This record gives sequence, structure tokens and C-alpha cells, in this order.
Amino acid sequence: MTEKERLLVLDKIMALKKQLEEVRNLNDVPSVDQSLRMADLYLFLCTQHLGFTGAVFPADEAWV
Amino acid sequence: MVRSVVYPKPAGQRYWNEYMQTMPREKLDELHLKRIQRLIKFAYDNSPLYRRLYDKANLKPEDVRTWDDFYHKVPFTDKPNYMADQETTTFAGEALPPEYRQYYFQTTGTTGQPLREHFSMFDTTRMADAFCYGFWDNGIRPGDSFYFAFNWGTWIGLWSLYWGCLRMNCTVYSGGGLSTEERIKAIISLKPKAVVGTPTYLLHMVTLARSMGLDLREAGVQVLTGGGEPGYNVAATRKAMLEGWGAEKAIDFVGIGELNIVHPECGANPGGVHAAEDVFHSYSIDSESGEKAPDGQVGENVITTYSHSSQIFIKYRTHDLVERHEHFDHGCGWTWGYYPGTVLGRSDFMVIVRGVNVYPTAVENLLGQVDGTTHYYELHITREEGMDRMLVKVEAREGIPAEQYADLTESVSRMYRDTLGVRLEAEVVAPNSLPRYELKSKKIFDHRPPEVRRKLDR
Repeated sequence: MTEKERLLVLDKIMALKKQLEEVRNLNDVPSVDQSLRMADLYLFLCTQHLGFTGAVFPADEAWV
Repeated sequence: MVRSVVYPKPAGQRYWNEYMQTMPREKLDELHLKRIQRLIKFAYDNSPLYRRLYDKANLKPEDVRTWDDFYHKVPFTDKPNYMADQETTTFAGEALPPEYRQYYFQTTGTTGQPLREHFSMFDTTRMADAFCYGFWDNGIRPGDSFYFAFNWGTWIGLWSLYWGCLRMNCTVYSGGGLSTEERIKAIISLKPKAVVGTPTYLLHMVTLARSMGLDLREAGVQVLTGGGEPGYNVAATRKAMLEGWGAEKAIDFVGIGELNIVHPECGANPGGVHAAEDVFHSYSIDSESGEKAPDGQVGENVITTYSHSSQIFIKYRTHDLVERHEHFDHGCGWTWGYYPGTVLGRSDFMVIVRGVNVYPTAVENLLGQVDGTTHYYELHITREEGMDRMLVKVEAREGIPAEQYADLTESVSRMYRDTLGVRLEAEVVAPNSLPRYELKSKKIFDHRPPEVRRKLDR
């Protein structure tokens, strides 16, 4: 993976995270919300694997 | 018709995460420092224990700007900090509200009160990554199967390996609640790719299977893995396990339970482990001065973990002695720290026998060097007339006549004298006379008065 590709993937992940947050705000079904929360966690892990230098834990980000 | 599982498309890739595993050291250190700075702020803001520790050290998160700041301004932490905190709160060092507690465990507490541990869902998933690095490097792929010869108790040990299996989408066969005989039959029937257990227990299964008229080699198990004891890294034990099971590989994972981390074994260079630098930061220190040990020299492993948001561990003294190499090019391509021989001893557990510093781990690692003896052993430490003494009890191999035990005893004692420079007392005992354990075995017995003992176990 080139640096350009890495940054592109990172951008897409961040966009997905933003979308997830929007969907969570619209949704009030607990089971759906919990699944979206897990999806958000895994997207956070993707950012870690790509060497994202921001938050160490989801709780330090929008996770809480 | 059910479609076949679609495995990750890069299944043929050399690395689980090439970007991180081959990151140049300078860039990796830059990333570590940024993560550590965020972590220190997180700890200061969320963990009462860390707030107290840093206030006492007159440290604010923004004071940590450089590596020198981290090494010299940030205080070390150690198990007594957590045990003291645990006296006034349920979970020491806690940094997340109770709704994040997902798993509860405790340390074995061999020398006193166990440390209570809890982990969030994120923590278990993040820790699982460290296993995946080792799995992938040793040929494990999604869809492979693992049999757990383990009872799923309150010791985190092999639970964390289970999280690694989940993370890689492997099949898990549970051996929980079964007798050893039932597990043997299940393994022969299910034919898993890998079996998980402590070395002592996996060897016990081989012996028991033979007495049942069964041969575990017929199960076609390719990989043995686990931890909890030094056996995976002891050449003689490793060889005995591989032969007894007819397996091709033994994968070691060196962990420190309370920290929620493991060091995965290098697939290209068995006998040593890498620091999983995507999951934690580590460096080694001179135990006396606290200064960073030079690259490649033996020092005490100090860990800052990124996989423990529920209970924070920053600059935690593990008391494990390691020979850390930061630029060890042995052809595997990883740029992460490498520890040949894994854990070499304990900085807080050294016995002086006849004027020689003896680390019990070093004694353990040499077991099996004498032909005719086995890897089943116990170390007994006593104090007589103001002097520490160490007795090594080791089982003879099956078929060795009892009249040869005296000669074997002399050989064991001589081997230690030649390798460690000290003559230890030895006693060769009959096969199957020492206890077998499924979990982390207690093999070191310190009979000295409490006031002269040093910490023995985590």
C-alpha cells in the first residue's frame, strides 16, 4: 500500500465513522444502535492499524 | 446452498499488517510518542490513581513533550501501586465508568491478594491483535481451527488467546468442563489445526493418551500454542511437545496478565518474541538506576499499553528481564523490538546461592538438558544458617531404572555448575510423581521466612 493509498483509505474510514454517527443520531432502536456502536469500534481499530496518530482508545474519541 | 466463507482478500500477504510491522524505527517512535502523550492525558483526566501519581510527581500531561520527558519526568508504576489502590476501590487504576466492564479476571495471587482486573470490549479486541500478528506470521489463517484444553476460569491466560481466535475468524472448539480423557478423545475426533494449553498440560495429555492406548499424533494437529509457563521457549520441552503431538510448530506468546498484552513469537526465528508495538510501547531499564538500558543488553521490561483503557498501565515495571533489540535484522522484516530467549529472569526474584546470583527462570530454561530427565520439575528454595539454597526436583524419563537416579542427580547438578557457575542441589524422582496442572503451574516453592523473600509471582 502506498502512502497515498493509505491516506485515501484513512479518509474513507473517517467518512464512514461520520456517517455512522449520523445514523446513530437518527436511530432509536437499541439493537441497531449497539451494532452501529460495534461498527464504530472496528472502524476505530482500522485507524489504529493504519497508524493514525489520534486517540489511543475509542473512549478518548467519540466512543463515550 | 450456503456460500463458502469469504476470507480476507489478502490471505496470501506476508504480514498481518505490513504498514505497522515494517514501519521504520524513527517513524514508529514518533507514533509511539504521540500515542503516549494522548494516553497520559487520558489517564490524568480519567484515572484517579494516575491523577494522584502525576500530581505527586508535579507532572501535567502537557509536560511530556519529548522522549527524555517520558523517560525522566513520568513516574514508573509497579504492582504495589495497584494493590494499594485496590484497598480503597474495586478496580485499581480504573479509567472507565462501570458500564464498560465486560470481562472480569484476577491474577493468580500466589504470594498474596490477587489483583482484580477488568477489560472493556475494546480492550479485548485490541489485545487480540497482538495474537493475530503471531498467528499470521506462523501460518494461521482465518477458518483454521483451535481446540482449547482449558477450563475458562478467572486467570486471563488463554482467554486472551481465544480473543485472538475470534479476531482472526478461526473456529474455536472448547474443552471447558471436560476431563483430560474426554479432551483427548475430542481432539482425535475433531482434528483441529491447533491445540491450546500450557506446556505441562499438553505433555500430560500425551502421557495420558498413551496409557489409554491412544496416540495423539493421529489427530493431525499441526500447531501447539499457549503460554503461562516458560515451556514453549525451553528447547527440550518444545521438542517433547512437538514429538508427542506430531505437530509442526509451537507458537509462544509471552504475556503479562494484568497489562493485557502479549509478545508474539517470530515465525521466521522461533525462540524469540517481538514486542507487539502496535498494541503497546516497551523499553528496558537498568533495574537499579531506572535508566534506559542500552540496545541489546539485558534489562527490565517496562510497558505502556494501548490495549487497556479500563485499567491504565503507563511505564509499568514488569520485573521481567529481557534482552531487547531495537534493530535486530534477522530477516523476518519486522521492525518491532525483538527479545531472543523471551523472558530471561525476574529482576525482583533472584536467589543468592553460594555467592552466585541465580534466577529461577534460568534454572527452568536449562531443564531437559540432561539425557534421561524430563521437563517435569519443581524448584524448592529454603534458607539454612543464613544462606539461600535451591533444590531442583526433576522427574526421570519413563524406563530409566531407579538405581540410575543417583547418577542422573549428579549429572543434573554438574550441568548447573557448568552452565550457571553454581552447584545446585538436585533430586531425580520417579516418573509421574510430581503434580500436573492444567493452568499456570506453581513450580517454584519458596519456603524461606517471609521477611527474607522477595516478590515471587505477579
